Amino acid sequence: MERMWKLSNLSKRYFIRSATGLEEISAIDTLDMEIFKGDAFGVIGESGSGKTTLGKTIIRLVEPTSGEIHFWEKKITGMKENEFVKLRRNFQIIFQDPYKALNPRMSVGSAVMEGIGEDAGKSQKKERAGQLLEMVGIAAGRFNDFPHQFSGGERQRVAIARALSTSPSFIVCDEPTSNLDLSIQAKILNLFVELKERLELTYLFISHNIRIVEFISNRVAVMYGGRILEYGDTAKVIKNPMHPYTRMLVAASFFRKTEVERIYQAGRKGCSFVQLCPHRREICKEERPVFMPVEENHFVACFANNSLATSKGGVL
Amino acid sequence: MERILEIRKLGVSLRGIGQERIRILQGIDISVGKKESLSLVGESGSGKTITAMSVMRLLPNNMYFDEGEILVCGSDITGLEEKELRDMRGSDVSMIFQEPSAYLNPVFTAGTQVIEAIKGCEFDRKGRTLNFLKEVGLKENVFYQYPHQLSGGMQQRVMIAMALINNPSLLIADEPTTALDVTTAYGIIELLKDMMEKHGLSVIFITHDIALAVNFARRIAVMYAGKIVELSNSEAIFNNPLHPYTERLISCLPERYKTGDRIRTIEGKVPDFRNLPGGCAFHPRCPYRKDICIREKPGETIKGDTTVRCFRYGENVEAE
Repeated sequence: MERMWKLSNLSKRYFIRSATGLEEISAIDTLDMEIFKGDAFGVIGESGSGKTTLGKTIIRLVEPTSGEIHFWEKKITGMKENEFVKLRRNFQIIFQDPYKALNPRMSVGSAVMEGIGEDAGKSQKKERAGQLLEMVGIAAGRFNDFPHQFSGGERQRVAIARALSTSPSFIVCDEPTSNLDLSIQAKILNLFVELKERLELTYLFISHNIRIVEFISNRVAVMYGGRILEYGDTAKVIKNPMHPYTRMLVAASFFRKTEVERIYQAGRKGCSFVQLCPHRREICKEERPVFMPVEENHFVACFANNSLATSKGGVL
Repeated sequence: MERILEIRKLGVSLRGIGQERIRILQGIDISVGKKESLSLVGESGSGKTITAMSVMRLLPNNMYFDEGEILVCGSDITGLEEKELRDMRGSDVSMIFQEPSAYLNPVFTAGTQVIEAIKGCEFDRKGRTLNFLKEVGLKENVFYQYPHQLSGGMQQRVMIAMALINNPSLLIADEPTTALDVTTAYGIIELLKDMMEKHGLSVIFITHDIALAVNFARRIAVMYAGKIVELSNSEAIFNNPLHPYTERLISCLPERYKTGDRIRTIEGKVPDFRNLPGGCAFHPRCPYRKDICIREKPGETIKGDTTVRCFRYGENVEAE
């Protein structure tokens, strides 16, 4: 397997104004991650866990505060804008709400044509856009229709066609089905699987719904408070969740009783989940746990699971 | 058992632009007993919300009842005047919605809005509200907070407090968890179950997620094109769906597949009420369609605990 993305020590901090002055929020907190070619890498977590920020930062829609991002072997953090522009065609993002992602005053055909390379002539562009729409299941006869003439599921298809127009190799899917009915969601998920096989795409699939991530992705990372708490092969993480937070998410997704309820702030020091964790100990408040292997291709950062894990020892 | 809600042969129609009559709901038969939960399941555009709005008498102006009756606690509400409806809403039947932020007034605190919902005279409205906020799992300071300071889950809890403060016997929850995170959604579901237990509340739960419906409700009604196509208890529906539509709705759940598989979806789209297909409305999308499905409308067939409208289980033709 070839490594496509390598994120090391990646952080993104926002400053928000509050009554006491500027408050610092860590949306991503010194995060390490690798994505391989052909992965459908799932990121699960609740609102506020930093998963959307991660999706945007990885393709530099948001500049990271610190840390490095490597795409293949190229370092893209700190790269000059005119150099990065050439790379940018390789990355695309699909958003949650297709109603907001499409320009209401632009026909879907011209919206898709926009992304096709400069060197193509107008008729070539038109033909290619027609093919792309066809590929995502929109009849070519609807080329000149406007977004309001499409249903939610169809709009998401158009958004996907538009994302494909630059022939990307990597797509960030930010909750692309959470606004849709189950039956339409099923069709869109099928489309994602199909396109991945056909165009050899790599996905970063962001969702709060484990039931979807379990279906679409081969590897998964669980995020909370800007950090990854557990990652590994999807089947292993979901069948055998080790981190208390993962256990809680899995339980809630399948309507089983959970041990803890959620709150919003995550601690900077120690484990980000420490305030809620039913298994917390003294060390959890002081030191940040590192990843320890649970089984092959399954890692967890939690002291309760492995008494040997400290921030000094252990392997990533 | 005491019947809180009974809908008998309800039909609702829409007055079109040229005064033509477009039938929306046809022959809806539902009953909900005390402390019972019923879930309405179906895709968008299947008539779930219209059914709920009929019970609340909140139908848009161009829709009207053309047959049947709705009995709330034994009395028919289809003919009530606006003044009588005001007594019914809130104290007999209440409703919560998908997007709580759209239903809370941004310029009033949560507490003010819950107090406003209290009906009749009462000495200690504030005390009662504070107690009730605690009961729905909110802290006391939420009373003084504005909607934008609350998270989606907390806003939904405020909505639930407003809906239940007059102690109604029936709550209609229209996709109350769709906009929420899984863990928050789970909390809301548990709260509703809790309220049913404590206050003897009955709940009609509307959702498109059949897995959620099965988990929440004891009985499920699957709706398609304005009709109930299958009505049964939830285990029966989930483990042994009779109607092809129910079967396909369940097969759309992604957790039933392995990574890399294709999900078995439902072909085609929900039909438009303006031109429903003849015969069984589901026949263009149905994998088991026979000749009779195209010609005739299936009537209700009773099979065990299940009532189903499908010709696979009998040749019952619907009476016009």
